[in-house]
Amino acid sequence: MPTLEGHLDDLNRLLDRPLAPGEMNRALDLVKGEWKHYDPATRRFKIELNDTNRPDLWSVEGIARQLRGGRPLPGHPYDFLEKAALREAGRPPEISIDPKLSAIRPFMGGFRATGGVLGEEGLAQLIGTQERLSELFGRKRRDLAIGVYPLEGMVFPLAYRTADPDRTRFFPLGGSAVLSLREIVSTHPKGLAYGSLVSDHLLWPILEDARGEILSFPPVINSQTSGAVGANDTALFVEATGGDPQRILLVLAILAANLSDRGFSVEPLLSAGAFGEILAPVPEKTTVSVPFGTPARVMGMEEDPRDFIEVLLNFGYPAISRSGKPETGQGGQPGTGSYEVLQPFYRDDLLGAVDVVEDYLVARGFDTFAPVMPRAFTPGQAAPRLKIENRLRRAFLAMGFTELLSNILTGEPLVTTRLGREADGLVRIDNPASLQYAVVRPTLLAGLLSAESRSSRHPYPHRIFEIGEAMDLCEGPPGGARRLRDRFLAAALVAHPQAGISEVQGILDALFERMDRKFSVSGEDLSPYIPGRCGVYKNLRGETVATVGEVHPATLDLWGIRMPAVAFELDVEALTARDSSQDSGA
Amino acid sequence: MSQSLHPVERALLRPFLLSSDREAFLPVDEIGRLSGLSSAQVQMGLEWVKSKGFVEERVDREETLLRPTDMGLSALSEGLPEERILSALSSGPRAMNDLRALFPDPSVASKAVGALKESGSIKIVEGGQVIRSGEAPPGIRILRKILEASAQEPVIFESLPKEEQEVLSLYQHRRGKEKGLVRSDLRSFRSYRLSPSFSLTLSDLDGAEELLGNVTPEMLQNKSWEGGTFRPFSVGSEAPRPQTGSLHPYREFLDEVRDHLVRLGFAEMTGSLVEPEFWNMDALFIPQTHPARNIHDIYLISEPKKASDTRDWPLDRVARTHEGRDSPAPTRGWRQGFDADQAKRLLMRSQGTALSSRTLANKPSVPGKYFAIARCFRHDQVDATHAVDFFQAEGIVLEEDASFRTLLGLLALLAREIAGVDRVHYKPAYFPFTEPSVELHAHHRDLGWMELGGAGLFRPEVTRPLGVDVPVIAWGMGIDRMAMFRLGLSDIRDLFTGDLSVLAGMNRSEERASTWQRI
Repeated sequence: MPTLEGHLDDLNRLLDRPLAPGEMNRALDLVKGEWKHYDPATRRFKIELNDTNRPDLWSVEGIARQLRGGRPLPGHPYDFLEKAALREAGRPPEISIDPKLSAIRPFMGGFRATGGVLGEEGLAQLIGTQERLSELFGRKRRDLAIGVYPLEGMVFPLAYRTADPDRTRFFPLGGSAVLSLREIVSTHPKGLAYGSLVSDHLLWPILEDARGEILSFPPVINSQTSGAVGANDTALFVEATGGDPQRILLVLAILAANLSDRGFSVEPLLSAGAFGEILAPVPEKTTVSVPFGTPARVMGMEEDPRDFIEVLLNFGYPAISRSGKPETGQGGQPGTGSYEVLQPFYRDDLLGAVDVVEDYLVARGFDTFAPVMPRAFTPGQAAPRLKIENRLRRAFLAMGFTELLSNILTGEPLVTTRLGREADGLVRIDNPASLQYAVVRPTLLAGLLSAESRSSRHPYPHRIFEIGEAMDLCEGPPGGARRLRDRFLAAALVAHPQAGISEVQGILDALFERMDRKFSVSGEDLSPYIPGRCGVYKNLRGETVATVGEVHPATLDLWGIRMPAVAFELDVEALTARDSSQDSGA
Repeated sequence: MSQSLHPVERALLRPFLLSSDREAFLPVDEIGRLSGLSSAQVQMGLEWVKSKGFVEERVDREETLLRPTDMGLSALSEGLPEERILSALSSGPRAMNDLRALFPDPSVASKAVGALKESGSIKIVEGGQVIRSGEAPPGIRILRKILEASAQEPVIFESLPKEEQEVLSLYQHRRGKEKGLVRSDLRSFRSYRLSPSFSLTLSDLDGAEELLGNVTPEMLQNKSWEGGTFRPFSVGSEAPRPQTGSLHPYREFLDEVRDHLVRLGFAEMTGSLVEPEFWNMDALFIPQTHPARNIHDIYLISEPKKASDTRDWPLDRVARTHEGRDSPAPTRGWRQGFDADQAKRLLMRSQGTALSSRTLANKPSVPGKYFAIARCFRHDQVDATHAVDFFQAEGIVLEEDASFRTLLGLLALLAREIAGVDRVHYKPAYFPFTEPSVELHAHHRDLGWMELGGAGLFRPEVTRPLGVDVPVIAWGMGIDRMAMFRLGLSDIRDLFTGDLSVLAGMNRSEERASTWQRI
């Protein structure tokens, strides 16, 4: 979720009517934003934006524009759209694109902005917006990267072309010497961060002007000669590169609108290459059909077509027309036609009718709709598993046990070496965030032992248990891959100076009796228990229902436990399996 | 006075009176040997006679026992962070990012690099490269030595040379005791002697008239109590507590939420901890390039990597919807390619909504209400507000005439029934799978406005490919946060603690909780 910072006075300068800090949170409902922080001393604020699908809102200018209902500020119309339409045919492109870039980073669009002044706040917003759009919308510059340059000294037409990474050299912004592209990628911070986006190719992209001066190495870094944009710059060149011309046009349209709001006049530029032409910042016009009756269905109340259209026009939609037959007149039944809604040029988030209807609801304000209770009767039901789970939990409670709840992801050593068990059959995380949480627990015993090792100061005796989900890998069909198996287990541990196996066997017997089950037990050596002091309970199908034993001192030692402990683990599904109830083990 | 003594007290006092030197202190184990009492009796008896002022206590000696923590054990096998960095640098300079990549938690690298820089073992040269510039700091060598020794058997801190003690104290001070490599536990040795005011003699102890002790069945049977005197028991003193158990307060809270939902007519959904991206993401119309699908946000499974059986999946319909290929086009889709292979990738369920998409595809009842309280996993740095896995409560409502207004009504109902709050605010929100989308904010009398959950009407891009043509309301609630208020916790990790004392504290604070209105 993007978070942006700004200055209250700057935001208010961009609004029709200044807002006080106390009014902000509700006002920001219109942009799905939250007023997160405001410092009255510096008048600086933070806004968190929830709509990841509306990059046009990721700047103070964009928020202000939506709050103004999409209208440009007085004296600064969004006239670049008309200018583009008036461009004479056959005028040569200002940016040529090398066909060899088609497999590397095929598209570039750009525009010039002149006659405004950014100022410190405007500059901070421009840089912040560029950053957010490249990082979030452009997925860390992979899909899209933006370059902004002072226009001064730049000679058009520009060439976006391939270059030899070793023989092409320039002075990178923020660097300390003239470097080859390859040296930039291996030493410059931006090169280290973004070089991998192009470094697999034999030739890499550069942007140079008509004098052959290298302006930048997209999508990595600008040159020092073209320089960094400053607060006092009055003329800028803005470009975006990537693989999708629609996205390039959208971000350039957003930046053009932002700069226009800052008093700049935007001049569209044409770039041309093997894939055709891009006239930026002019995205394709998109119309969305909203069938009559759809707003009514979504709202749960009759729609007022005039209100629908008027509210949306005031929310920034440039044009809405009605096609087909409107109302049939019978009891307000909607007709068969639709509202044809033109998407604002700085947006590309409307996928279908519901998106337009939601904007209508947001523009009207959610609080203007009276809630209606759902009326249909439906039978409620807890999962069948819960019944068994809760019966077991209460049985444990009655025997003085304390319930634990552990994380399901755990560290591999805790469920292998610390239990004297093999790592075979473990469900592993391919990309763990930490080795502490790198496998799915196959057993609940490790959680109990870990709790015991942390609770030596708690008065003994300790009686603890946990019921929950676990997982392992089991054999698949013959010759096939191993399969994931969800398990539902219960485990218990008892620790005190006299703890011994007969105590837990008694507990197990009491549990089985509570569940009206009987199982045969046989001695069987298994970790982490003392050989000869552990055993297995099986049901008639031969499935293991429970394992039980005295925890081996070597295991206790590994956990740092200085108190005798006995434990068991139950497979709840095997315990409750139907045909096991006739077991004649006793 | 001797009459009121408990037999254990008498047995305990006897060795002191027999001792040739009344001034001398007797160590605890000596008292045990001489009195013939068990160590538990000695402990208990000493507390009694101490509280009565019969004996004086002296702490002879305290030792600090050092044992490696989990982190310490893994540092032993994998190397201390500082050691790993130095060994990485032994073959030449490295970029800071390379060093960070050595550790799952990059802040470990930053801390270690800071320490090494301070000691002059490494330098950062131009271009951000890190080079080795000196010996490993002595502290690291000492730390390793202590770790190795304490992994064998606990090391006594006080027995370490001064220099090593200082290194260790400094290290623990810097890292914090909990996070460090070594854990320290205090062990004390005590001894006792009679206090000067103690005036009883051996004969007092022995000669006291035998008073009646516990009431026994025999005593009742043969009426031997008649005419006798009962030894007064110290009614005011601390009594032993019975062994008690308790259900986990968080599980209890989840059960309450579950009960509320069942009463409201919701049926519970359950499923596997591992889901293919298809049900967890694609079927919910989350674009394949969405940041939440980045490998830094989800946990992928090593083996098997992909779901093999996709027979029941509406894979093609979902793919066409994502790509915007359906015609006539009810949606423009995400206008990007759909990778069926990515859809098969297995991950730890990242949201309970995966269960809802499965339910929708599986001929749900109309009208129908379903819910899940599901364990979910998020790839986050674990800290006070992020647990590695956590519970999410969510649900869906299928109803012929479900609408935005029904959605608001349902949220008000959930806020009242589950959280016990009446003042709510509906805030516009964004989720890729619902439109319109709402955040439910509730007013808590102590904490002010808080976000309770998110909800919306499923997009037609979600319901239609799954074969559902009635409107579907979807909602989710952050129950972990509600539980934390109620249990008086500020650290989400405590919900999953293994420390029985913390757990007992949670139970108590739940009783005190007035924090989250009703729940």
